[in-house]
Amino acid sequence: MDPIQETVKEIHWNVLESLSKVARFSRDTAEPTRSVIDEYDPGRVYLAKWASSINEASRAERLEKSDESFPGRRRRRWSDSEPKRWEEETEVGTFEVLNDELTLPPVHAIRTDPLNAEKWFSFFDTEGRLKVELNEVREAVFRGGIENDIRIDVWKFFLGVYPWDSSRVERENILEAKAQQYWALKREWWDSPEVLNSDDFKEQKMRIEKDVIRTDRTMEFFAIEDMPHPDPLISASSKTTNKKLEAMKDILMTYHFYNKDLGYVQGMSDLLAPVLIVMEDEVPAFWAFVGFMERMKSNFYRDQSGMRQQLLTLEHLIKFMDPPLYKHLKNTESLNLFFCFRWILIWFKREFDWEHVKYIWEVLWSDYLCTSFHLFVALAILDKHRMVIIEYLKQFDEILKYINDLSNTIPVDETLLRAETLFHQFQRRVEIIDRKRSSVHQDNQNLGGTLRRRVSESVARNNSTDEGSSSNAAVVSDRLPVISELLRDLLV
Amino acid sequence: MASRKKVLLKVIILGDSGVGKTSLMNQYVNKKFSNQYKATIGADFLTKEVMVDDRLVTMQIWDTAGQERFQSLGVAFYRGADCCVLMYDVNNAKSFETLDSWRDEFLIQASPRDSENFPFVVLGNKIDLEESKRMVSQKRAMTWCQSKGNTPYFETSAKEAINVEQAFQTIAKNALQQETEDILYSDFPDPIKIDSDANKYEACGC
Repeated sequence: MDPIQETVKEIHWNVLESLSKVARFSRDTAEPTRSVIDEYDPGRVYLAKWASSINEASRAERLEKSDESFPGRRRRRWSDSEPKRWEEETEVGTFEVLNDELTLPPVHAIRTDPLNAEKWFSFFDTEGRLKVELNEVREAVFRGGIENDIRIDVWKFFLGVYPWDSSRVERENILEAKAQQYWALKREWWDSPEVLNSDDFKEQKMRIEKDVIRTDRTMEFFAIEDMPHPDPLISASSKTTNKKLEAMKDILMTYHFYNKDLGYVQGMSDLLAPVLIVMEDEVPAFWAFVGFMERMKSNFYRDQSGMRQQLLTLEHLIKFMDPPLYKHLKNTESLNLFFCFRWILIWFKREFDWEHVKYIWEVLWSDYLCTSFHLFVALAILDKHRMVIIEYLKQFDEILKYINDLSNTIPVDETLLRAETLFHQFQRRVEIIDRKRSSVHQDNQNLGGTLRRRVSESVARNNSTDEGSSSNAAVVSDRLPVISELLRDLLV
Repeated sequence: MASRKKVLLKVIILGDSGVGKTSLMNQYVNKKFSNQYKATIGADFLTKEVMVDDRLVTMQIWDTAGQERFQSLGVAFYRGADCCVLMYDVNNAKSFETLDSWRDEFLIQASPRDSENFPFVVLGNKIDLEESKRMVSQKRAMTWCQSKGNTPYFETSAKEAINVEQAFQTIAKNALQQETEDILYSDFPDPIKIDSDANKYEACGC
């Protein structure tokens, strides 16, 4: 960095710092009522955004320099050369774990160019059967996504329209059978006056209509209004429509007949829109959507159990990977993580632009590292903003506002690199802790029960941390972080 | 002391999906209308500074998802509300009929101190559409509002900015009254706690 820039940056920081001091000062003196601590302060969110933008500017500069060795647009690396200070949280006793971690080589994550047609077709033999290990395909998609012109083909595999081990001829037959099946399902309501006049149908129809006419309408293919609305009774605000919008309504309605328990729930139209545009036609779009919903349906359960479980897993993950952030969220009564609700419900659909949504979804569909990689993406976004959140945001609603406003500002490749790095760190931490616990357990067994108890009691009493002695094994074991079942499931 | 401190008024807008909650909030705060707002997922809010009875207050207006499946999330957002806006679409009878359940749900989840007198305001939106589409008459709406302890009622158009300012003036006024009462009735938190927090800032030298 040249000296002038450096000075400018320093001034920025000083101003920022003094401003925050002023803010604090006025809080501490002028307003000694409950609102001081209790209430939302738009100023803090503003300050947080500013701090974040300055962080970003200086980081981008550093990256630019370190990236010089990796030419090529999307070939970027991320390394965990600055591990977070894990030892801060004494109650989890991670002191030794951290030391173990530091002796390991840093993790490197890599992003590559998207999978292109040439490479994709090279995966298949003359009969159109996959001839490479599925994992190779998964890795290619995980690392770089898919080029737009072959998405229509590749997505059908990842979304289960047909199986990976099928031949070209088999796939043609499958598609034909699925088309029959789709039209039969659609006729269940399309051709039935009884259904069409039922209250349940009318309600579903209205819900779907309401959401479809406000889903991605800024995108050209949904923006055009070139045909009259098929239902003359529909409200004046949507007198005209287009083929894609109508296809979307029909697919969502047919899905209601395919999965009657679920019904249409808000968020589903967000999931369908890119799938329909990539698949082009109603029939493959329906089945691709069905495949997508197989992964996503628990997000829409009436009792919200699917969402709750994922938010809880994310909570455990934050506690395990970033105790200081966890503590801050706890102190601000934000552990419900509702500011991540939208991220998880529709897989970041509202956080990235259209092209990047397709890209991030296929990375998530690849299941290359694990089947819940979206939680690592969530962790990565929080991780990037952790300092700002901890330093500046003192209320649940401040955090929610800050996070909501991140929409369309999140750099996609950098986030995926960070998510991958965090995944590897997580995996390594679990291994180290398991190893440690089992070795402690071994040591423990070598001691007599009574002796062990007496020693560990005396250790606890004296608050001694006598390293190297195997006698405090039980204490060490107790202080190792607990790896919940939810966390273990992330490694599947 | 209460009159001199800066006030934050928390207002929650509830009502069926598609009645215009997001549009109303944006019309009031940003003076903009778009028919391309997406369905709200989760919750968001906007803030606006307004003068109420010669006092400058900050209104924090919460916009929530309308589908009933997401109602259980409410508890995180409703707490500490100073006023609740119940909104329906005058061209959609069902959205009016669900006002009862939105009201009940709010009282259960927010559990305000005095639920009998908690301030609600009812808004019938989309009056800009042609009269022939109207499904809920003003009389019907007003009768309902009267039966709920004379809840104030406004007919609005978020699109044409009709009655939006007026409605929010009433909302702010009633919210402020609620907030003031809450302060009078609530126990002040232990001041020592605040001091010790402040000391912590000093001590860490940041």
